[in-house]
Amino acid sequence: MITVRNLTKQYSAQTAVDNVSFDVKEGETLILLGTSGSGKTTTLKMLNRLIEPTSGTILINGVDARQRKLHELRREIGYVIQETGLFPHYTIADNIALIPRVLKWDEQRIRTRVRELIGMIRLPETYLAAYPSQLSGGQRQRVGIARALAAQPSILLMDEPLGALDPVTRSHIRREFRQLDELRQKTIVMVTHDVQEAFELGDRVGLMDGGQLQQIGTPQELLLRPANEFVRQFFADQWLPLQLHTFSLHDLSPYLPNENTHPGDALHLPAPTRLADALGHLSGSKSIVFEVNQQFVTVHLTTIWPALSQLLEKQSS
Amino acid sequence: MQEFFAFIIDQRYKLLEQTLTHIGLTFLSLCIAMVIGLPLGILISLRPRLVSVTLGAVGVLQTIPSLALLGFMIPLLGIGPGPAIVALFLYALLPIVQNTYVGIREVSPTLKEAAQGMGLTPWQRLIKLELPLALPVIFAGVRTATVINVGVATLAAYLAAGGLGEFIFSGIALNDTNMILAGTIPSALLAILFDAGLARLQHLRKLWRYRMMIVFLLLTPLLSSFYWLPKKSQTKLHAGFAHEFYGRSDGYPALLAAYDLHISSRLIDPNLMYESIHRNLFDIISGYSTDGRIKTFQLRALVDDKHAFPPYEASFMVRQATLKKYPALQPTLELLSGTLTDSSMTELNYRVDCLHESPKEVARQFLQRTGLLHQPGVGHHQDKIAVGAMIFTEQYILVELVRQLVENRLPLEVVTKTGLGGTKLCFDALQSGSLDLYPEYTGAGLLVLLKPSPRLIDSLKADPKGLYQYVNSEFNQKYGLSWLKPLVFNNTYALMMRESHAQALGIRTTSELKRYLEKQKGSL
Repeated sequence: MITVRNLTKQYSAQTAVDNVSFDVKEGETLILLGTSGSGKTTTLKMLNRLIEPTSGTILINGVDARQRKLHELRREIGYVIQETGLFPHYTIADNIALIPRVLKWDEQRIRTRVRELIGMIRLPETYLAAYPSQLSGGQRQRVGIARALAAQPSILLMDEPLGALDPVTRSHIRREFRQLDELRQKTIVMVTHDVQEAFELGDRVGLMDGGQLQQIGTPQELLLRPANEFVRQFFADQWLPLQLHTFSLHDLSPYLPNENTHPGDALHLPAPTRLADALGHLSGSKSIVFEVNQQFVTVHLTTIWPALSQLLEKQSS
Repeated sequence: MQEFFAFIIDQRYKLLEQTLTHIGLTFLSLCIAMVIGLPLGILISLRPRLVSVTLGAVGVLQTIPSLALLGFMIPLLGIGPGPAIVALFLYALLPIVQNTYVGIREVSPTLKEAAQGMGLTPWQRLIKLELPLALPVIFAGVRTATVINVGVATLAAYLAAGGLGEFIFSGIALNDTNMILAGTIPSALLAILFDAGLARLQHLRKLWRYRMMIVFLLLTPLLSSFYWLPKKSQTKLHAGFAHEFYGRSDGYPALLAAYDLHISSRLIDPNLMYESIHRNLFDIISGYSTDGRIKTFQLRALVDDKHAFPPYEASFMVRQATLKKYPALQPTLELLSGTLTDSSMTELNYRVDCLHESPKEVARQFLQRTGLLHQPGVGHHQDKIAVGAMIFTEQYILVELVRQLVENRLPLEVVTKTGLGGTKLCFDALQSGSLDLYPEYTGAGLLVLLKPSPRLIDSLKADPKGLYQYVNSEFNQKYGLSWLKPLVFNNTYALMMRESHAQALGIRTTSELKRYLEKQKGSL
């Protein structure tokens, strides 16, 4: 759990972070979104005191961060950065084991934990003896996550973790991240400039500009009830794709016509499937069937668009 | 070429000893440079404010010419291995400090931040991340330092610290190409060997590279210990021999032939010889019997009871052409003969070497005392003659005597060319006409220049008069050079010990020294 109050970072000429306050609840993922220079990374780095704030308070699990010993504080907070920061002279196993070794876990426990993590990130165990340079970018990024999780920190900070990857690998890894239980349970603060990434991974999104937090809320809130003109403008050119990422089949169900016919070649999907993913499937099959309140609902390419327009109309009013 | 190999084979033990000492000196200083340079490099990587000051200071040391740095060591720290190692260490410092600093600084900031963000302490960051990644760069610095040190270590011989420079300095003093090469080639080979070997190491595959670099770093103390290896086989007493003495047939070889005296020795600059025996660096030196420092440092010249060293009566060697051109020159110069005895020459040398009076003043007072100067002297000079002197005090004084006497009595200006390397050099200059005369010693003329049969040498050794006559007539015929009447004093080689030491061991003659060494060897 993280509580941030009136956080300000003043450099001689400019204010990098200006009076920012927010909470991150246990198990929640908060995305700090913004362009470069918006203050998002500075805010993140103040959480593990890589940068010391000028004023304001940060409580990590209820304790003032400034009263903690620097290294102890940081070891309880996993840290993932762009290009992973894996040690090039360490094997994958040694990289993952870095912090457990610093914490003097016994070797048996470390080995078990490393195996568990390499399985979790779906890499074969033969990779444990490899060096980072022998892995692909995506694989390295997954190892970076595993290393950050190794000592079971309650909090994870991620600074543009996928920034160095190509778009296909990015979306691939994003999907994997969403499926990792260990990640889902963590309290995470992640920085990105990628709007889609923010909407896909964030329980809540904080949009920053000029060092100030412009709006913080769920993706839907930001999209449908922008706090100011900046927020509205920020999402304007990606408005439709973001909506498709925001809403699920479940959200759409009230606006779909009742069809008793049940086409044999229909694809069954769970109701929380996001519309963006559902549309992807619709291009391959004629219709999708999902279940809401023990009732089957069918949707086709022809019925999805009218339903969506009704949904959006309802939401923005 | 054949001569060169013959020399190498003849001197193989000495060469091996010098090579081991050389490697030892190189790595000892490298070791110290690493012990100090690595932490210093690490320190400045943590304290950016110290960078420019430190690298500046260390860099300035590097710009001092190596010979000058060693020269500075003599007044500061004296001579011997200590000062030599300090000088070498100072040279090795820059590449090590600089590369350590650069290596650490150039570790990617992303990695440093990752390590910091994960909660590694600065120390853990250094050990786990920065040093391992900086190792190849640090190692490149160590490689540079090694190669520099192999080269500069040749100069350590100048401080009586041994190494391959002994042959180089001796070779230069004796104008002996083979000897110079015998020092140069092994030291160049060492440099190439270490450079290539360490370069090879740098190009090994990742894991092996780390392993081998660490092995090398651990190996340096071992290589340093080579310095003490030759000591093991050494005799109880150590000798410091002047380069010329060691190489000239009337020096060490003559001693070997007459006494079969084997003693572990180091070759040193003759000017440092007396200082070094005084500082207990050596127990025996090859001095000159009229040197003023015998008196200052309280040394005992051992009696040459088997006449290993021929007489060295001082005289002036003059071109006959010059004597013909200025007929008054010979009678004028010969006014000096008979005036300088062994003890009066030693006294003059002492006044210059130890009381630091100028040769000019000492010569003037001597001439006045003996009444050889006209009052007033000849005021005008129509012509010039060139007078040479080898690089030691006695020669400077003799040349001053010549200059003042000649300029006082003859209308000749005397141009002095002092500081010439040795007999061979002066003789060549005399033959080519760039010198008209210089002070020379009969024994040197015989052994260094004429090199007659050993039998003839033996017959002349105990007969100073016969030697003078033989040398004079030979030079007359062969080279058109005359030896003027001897000055009387005899400046021959003599083994010297500290008076107190010699007294304690009861050694007065070279034969007694030989017996003492044998006894010690037997008791080991």
